[in-house]
Amino acid sequence: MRRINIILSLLPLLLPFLAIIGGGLLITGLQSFGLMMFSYEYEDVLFAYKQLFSDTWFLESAVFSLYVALTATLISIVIGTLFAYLIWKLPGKYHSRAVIYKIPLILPHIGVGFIAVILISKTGVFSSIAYQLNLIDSFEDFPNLLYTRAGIDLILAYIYKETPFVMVMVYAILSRFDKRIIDTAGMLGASQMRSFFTLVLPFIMPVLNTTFIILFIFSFGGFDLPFVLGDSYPGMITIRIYEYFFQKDMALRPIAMAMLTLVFSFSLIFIFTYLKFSSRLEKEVRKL
Amino acid sequence: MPRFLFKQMKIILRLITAIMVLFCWANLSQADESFDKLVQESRGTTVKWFMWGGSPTINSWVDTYVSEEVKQRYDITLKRVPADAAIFVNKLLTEKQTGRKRGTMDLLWINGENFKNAMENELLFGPITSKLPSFQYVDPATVEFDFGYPVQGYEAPYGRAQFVFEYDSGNLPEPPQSFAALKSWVKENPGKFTYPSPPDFTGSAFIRQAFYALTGGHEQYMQGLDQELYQQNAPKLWEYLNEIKPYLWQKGRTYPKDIAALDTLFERGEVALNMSYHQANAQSKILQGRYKNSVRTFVIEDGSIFNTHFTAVPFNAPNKAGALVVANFLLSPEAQLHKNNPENWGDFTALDLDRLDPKMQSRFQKLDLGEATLSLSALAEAAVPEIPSGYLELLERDWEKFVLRSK
Repeated sequence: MRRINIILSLLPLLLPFLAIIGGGLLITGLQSFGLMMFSYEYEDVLFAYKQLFSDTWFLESAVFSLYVALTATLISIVIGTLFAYLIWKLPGKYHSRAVIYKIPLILPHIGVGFIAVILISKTGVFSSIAYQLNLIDSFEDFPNLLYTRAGIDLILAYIYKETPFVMVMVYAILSRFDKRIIDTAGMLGASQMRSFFTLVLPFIMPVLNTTFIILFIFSFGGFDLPFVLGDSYPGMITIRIYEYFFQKDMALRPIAMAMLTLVFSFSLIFIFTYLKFSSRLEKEVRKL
Repeated sequence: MPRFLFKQMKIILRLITAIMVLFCWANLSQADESFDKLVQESRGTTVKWFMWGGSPTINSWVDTYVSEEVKQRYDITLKRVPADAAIFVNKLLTEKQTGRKRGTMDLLWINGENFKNAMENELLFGPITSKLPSFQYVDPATVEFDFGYPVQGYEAPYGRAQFVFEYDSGNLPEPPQSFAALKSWVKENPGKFTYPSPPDFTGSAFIRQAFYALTGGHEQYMQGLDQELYQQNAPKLWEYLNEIKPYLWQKGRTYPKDIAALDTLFERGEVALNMSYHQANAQSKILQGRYKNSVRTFVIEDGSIFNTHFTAVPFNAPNKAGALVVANFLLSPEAQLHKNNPENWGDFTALDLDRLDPKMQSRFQKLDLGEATLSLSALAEAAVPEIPSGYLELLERDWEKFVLRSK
């Protein structure tokens, strides 16, 4: 009875969720098999998937997306945690001033993309400054940071956006941590490093895990930054999806839908395995 | 120019279309009478026009001139809804799939691939051109096909655009005027040229033009896709594009994602040549202060592609009468003249000037198109039609394979 009540009271929230998200997922899945594709008909339900895997481009894009998302997220987590820890260790009166770090949080991703273009492109602000200071003879000498095959522009932009998020999350949990534990450890002769890794890190680990998942999935499936920055080939997977959905013949839409289905399934599997793995790790840590 | 202006299709039976067009002509006298009825019906109604909203110039032309005129003449309230054509065609598809009889859109600005997609899924109401008195000023032969797809009266022409190159006459007095000259110029000026990566419409039009120029002209392709001919000719295009690739912007490792990205590079002087699928784009950019006053345009001697853009009415438009009245007004000589003026927009007319009365003709001829825009005759001399869609799809696909991904 209680259960039914809970479900009933959640219904106003559940219904739109099921209808919009569930319906969208269902149509995406069906269209990836060439079904419900308006007046188009396909002989082979696996046509889109076969097409995708007949070529290495899809895999190259997927690997590139993975690489960008993983690198950016890992670096953000390390820097963000470090900064949050340092701020937390400051005397209390400085904490409110450290609020500046939250600025990138309120910038939209696409805004960060434009800032990157304005600042670091070959004819951008930094290039002009270098020219005025006689560091370079013309804008052509300015190093190429945008649209590189290594995705440096994308990774930098994501780090800029994600680090403050990590800081907010970590700082919030640290404020519940008892500082005296560290002081005690110090008195007993533990080094700074040692007390961070054995006392603080296990305490904030669950939050780091959640943050990692949020940021990784977000940047893996992000569209706006790769659209403004980023290279034409291989390019992040979301850009390929956009091309197939909006710019190519409508009869090829199942390919876009197949990519979306694969990205979504991958994200689900990733979250599931990661959570399972990390909770097992945490249990083992507790046993120690 | 709108994303949806460009892309193309299969040629089906020319004959059927020709008959259709003749039929429309025979019906013109009836058109006037039934048009009065439409005007009566649409008095006091609202027309929602879904159109690409990316150009402030075009938006303000619609919001001021067009909406004031239709209000005054027909008591119609015009509401402009900005949306990309691919997006509203999607919306229509969903409405069709869910069986929605009364939709939300009355009039669409559409052409090319989006028109093809809409026709293949029976999303349009029509034929409509026979209902529009202004259509008598159009040469039906010029609007028989939209990117190779038969129009069959399902969309009414409304403007015309042609592909031009843009350059700054201040620092590049003699731009390369043929594809052969372009190749040597690019090699002498490494890093100063690039094109948006297809399927961007401008980049895609650029490679189509090169395809015409390098393989002996457009005539051979007009009959629809011939696989053998394509396989025989396309390698010449890939060879050319790969030859200039190392000398392109960023050494050809990457290409601007769309024309807006290339525009930015040109505005800042990172590249010395730009391109546009709208002949008056440079002039309006100068008027907006984004280009230097010394920017000029030219067409490549080998031929420059043009296409027509259209208005159409969705199958479930709630106010079909009002939509037709507005479409007719947009095609009227007065509106076309006003639109052709670069101060208002600069989009070329879809009308056949020979069909207008002499007074109107001279008003069109007296238009000051601005220094950066080529004369009508210079443009007409180089004009070549768009390629049938079968070729377009192959060219875009193989560009990725043989140019973008080749080492």
